[in-house]
Amino acid sequence: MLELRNVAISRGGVRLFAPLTCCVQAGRPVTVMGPSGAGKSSLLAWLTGVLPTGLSGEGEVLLDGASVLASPPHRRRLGILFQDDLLFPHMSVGENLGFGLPAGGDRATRRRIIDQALAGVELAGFADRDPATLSGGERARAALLRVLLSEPKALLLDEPFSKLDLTLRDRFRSLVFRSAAHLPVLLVSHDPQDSVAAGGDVLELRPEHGH
Amino acid sequence: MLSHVLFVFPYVLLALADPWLRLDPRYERSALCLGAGPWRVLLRVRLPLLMPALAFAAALGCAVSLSLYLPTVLMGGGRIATLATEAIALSSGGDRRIVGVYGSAQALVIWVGFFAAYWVGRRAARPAPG
Repeated sequence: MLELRNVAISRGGVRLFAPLTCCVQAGRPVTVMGPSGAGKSSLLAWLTGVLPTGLSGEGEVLLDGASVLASPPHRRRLGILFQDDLLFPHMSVGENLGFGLPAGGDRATRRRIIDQALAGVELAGFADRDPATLSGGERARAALLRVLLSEPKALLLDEPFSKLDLTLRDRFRSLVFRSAAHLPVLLVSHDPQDSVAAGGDVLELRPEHGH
Repeated sequence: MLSHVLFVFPYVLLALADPWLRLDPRYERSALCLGAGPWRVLLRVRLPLLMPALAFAAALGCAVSLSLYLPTVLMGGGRIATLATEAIALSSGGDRRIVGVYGSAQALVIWVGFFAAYWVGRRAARPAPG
């Protein structure tokens, strides 16, 4: 379970939105809606510990009951998907997937895990492919696998569907929610369709009152 | 040698600064969120992604270093001979053919440097086969 308590992002001492409190449970994705510039991406950047300088965050974030804010980004166990798949172009698809796979296991075992994961999303035999040769939908699925194989404890989605065309978008969206059903999922978006598909609570980022 | 580093550094820095700052920060954010520590992110993500730029900057640095004349003569106290110092010394001598050979050699070495950079960059941008 991912819990946000009175979370807000400020720039120069001014909050971008009124403090947010929500509780994200596995299987019930929460959508945070807001126009672009409302601080959606900054919110996720702060949660993952990489808020750009000039912005500051406040509030408390608990993952399975423990605060994550004191941990460095790579120990927070928060997976994230962006608008772009961001597959590393200098690695094959399999190497991309292996990058996030926790250390341990011999080569053959790791390779088997990767091959099985790929086969599960209609990408069987893609491990040695150059990501540049994949279609948009295939890249998106590979990026999803990469995150899931890194065994995150929660999944953050930074509008990962917005760049796909409509038919792909629906299919990829349901794939994401289906394969991350065991995880708390926090989605930020400005597309109302996303929140409908997510099916859980919807929060609106609004400017703080009294300013 | 060290004095060359001093004179070459600004060129390399200029060649490298833009790609270094322009790299999409989300690659590194993705890598961090996949559980990779800062060192692993630097070695496996940032440096390989910047390999074409690094190779180009290195070639540029070599090219500048090869053509440096005054710093070589001044700081080397005239005792260190490079292709550049030899070529210039010879050019006052008058044998055009030898000067031509030196000049061409100098250009060739620089060309080889840039070609190597191009090749490294091309290779680094693609995953290793197999």
